[in-house]
Amino acid sequence: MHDYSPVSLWHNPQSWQKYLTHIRGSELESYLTRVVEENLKPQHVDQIKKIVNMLDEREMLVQICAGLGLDRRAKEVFGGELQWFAIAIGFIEKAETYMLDDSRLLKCGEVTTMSDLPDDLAEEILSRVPLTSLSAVRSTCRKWNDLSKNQVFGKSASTGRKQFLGFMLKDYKVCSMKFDLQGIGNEGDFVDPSIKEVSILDQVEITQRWTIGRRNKTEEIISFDFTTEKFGKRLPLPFKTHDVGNFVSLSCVREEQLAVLHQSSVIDHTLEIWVSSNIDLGAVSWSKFLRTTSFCRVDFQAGSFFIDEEKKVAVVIDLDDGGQARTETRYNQRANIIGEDEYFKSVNVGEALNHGKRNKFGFVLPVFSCPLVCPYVPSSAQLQMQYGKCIEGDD
Amino acid sequence: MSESNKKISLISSEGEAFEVSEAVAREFEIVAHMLEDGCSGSSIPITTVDSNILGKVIEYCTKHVEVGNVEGNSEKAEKDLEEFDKRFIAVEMNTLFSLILAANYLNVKGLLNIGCQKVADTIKDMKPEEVRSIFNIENDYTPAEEEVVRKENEWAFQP
Repeated sequence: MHDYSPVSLWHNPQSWQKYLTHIRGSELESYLTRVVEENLKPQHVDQIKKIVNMLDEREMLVQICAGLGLDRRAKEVFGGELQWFAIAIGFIEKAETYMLDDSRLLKCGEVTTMSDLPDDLAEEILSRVPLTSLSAVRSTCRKWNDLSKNQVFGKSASTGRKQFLGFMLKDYKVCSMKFDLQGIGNEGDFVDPSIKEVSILDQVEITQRWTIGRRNKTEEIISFDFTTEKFGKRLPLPFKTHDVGNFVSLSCVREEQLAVLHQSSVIDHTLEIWVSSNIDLGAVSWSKFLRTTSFCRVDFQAGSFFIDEEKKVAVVIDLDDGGQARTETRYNQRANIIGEDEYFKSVNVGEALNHGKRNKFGFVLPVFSCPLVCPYVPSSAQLQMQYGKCIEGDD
Repeated sequence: MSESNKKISLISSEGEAFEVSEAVAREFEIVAHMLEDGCSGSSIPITTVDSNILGKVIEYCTKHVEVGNVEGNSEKAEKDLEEFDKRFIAVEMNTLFSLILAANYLNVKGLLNIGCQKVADTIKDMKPEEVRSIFNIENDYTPAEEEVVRKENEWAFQP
């Protein structure tokens, strides 16, 4: 017996030559010469499972697999386990030379890599990786991609996040959105919105949703439970509304609370935002979050918003209400940042598409797609999508 | 209570015996269940965990039992425990995975929690190539496939 382990061959190239001499004339020689000369590492992972079907020694294979700690069906193993499985197949065949490529065999049975962990543990770990690193996780390998598929809205996915993360409907496309509000209130502050289109959003599970209704000249909120498909109790809003010209919009705060925005276009355009401090299906209490009389007229067609509790800021997304930016075919979407002490800043977040068609008189009637923002809610157990709407008339 | 003074031997895969108080052994939920089911033998074999890892798990549980026993759990004690966890889990990757696997098998929830979190924190700021090399993962994507996956997930913001 000679020690032709990869380590000794690596450190001692002469022994490699000696080894090739040792096996001269055999089938293995031509094979290995090709490996060396063409610098090719044979890796026909897909072939392994085909080979299994040709084997007669199933029983022996079962034994060897058990010895290696593999207890799953062949078609279910991959990564490091598949490598072990391949080794098991190799051992069944009687051969003069066994070429094994797995350093872990030296410490058989010990866990050294993530792929040795059972799926549920690997999934548990990946669910704790923040959303911002999802791209890196998914590009690592197929298995991680699969394992992380259900974890976008994992409970811990958003812990420790400092910037606002949410989703936004822009020109009828779902985009992810990030607002860095760190500099708000400082001199020369700047807000850096980043909005990108999202291709997959099939992972949201909505169980409950709140909406606004109007009855007996009072605005109320009402919940709808998607699991039972029933409406909940009507709950009061913290402000009085006028007969006409009310704008009311809902948003959510953290996982469990609601925020409501109210602006009256009739009197003075005072804009108020309230946050619920205790909400369940039977009762609600509200506390005032912000009040501003700054010139900020929220466009009735849009006007969805989110708040940042720590910074005491609200960001209202709507359509630009006029001026240079608004023409027959151009219409900007803007993010209005409203803070304490009449702080107000408007940021352009891109053009809105005009879906209006030219009529027979040659005019293009503006039909703009309204941006809609949805604060990202990490829990899939109770996801309250925000919904903004101005409802006129009684029911 | 005489119960709490009872000693139990936990036997590692190598056959080494670790004598611990019943309170510490009960931190292993699997052991707690055994005891409740009336398996009252004084030595319990833990065949899938080796001495090195079993010793560490016992160290973790002992510390947590000690702190839990202090009257009027102060804020300071909690801080100390946090510090202890942090130091305890700062180990090499293969040890960390062995600890996670052992914590899962023995059902030590606290340890499983900090172990998984530690791995997640490690992954957090890495590029896919770094993750692969650290965790010894083979890239089974073709370059084209990898590009597709990367593109699909671009919306998840890079830190």
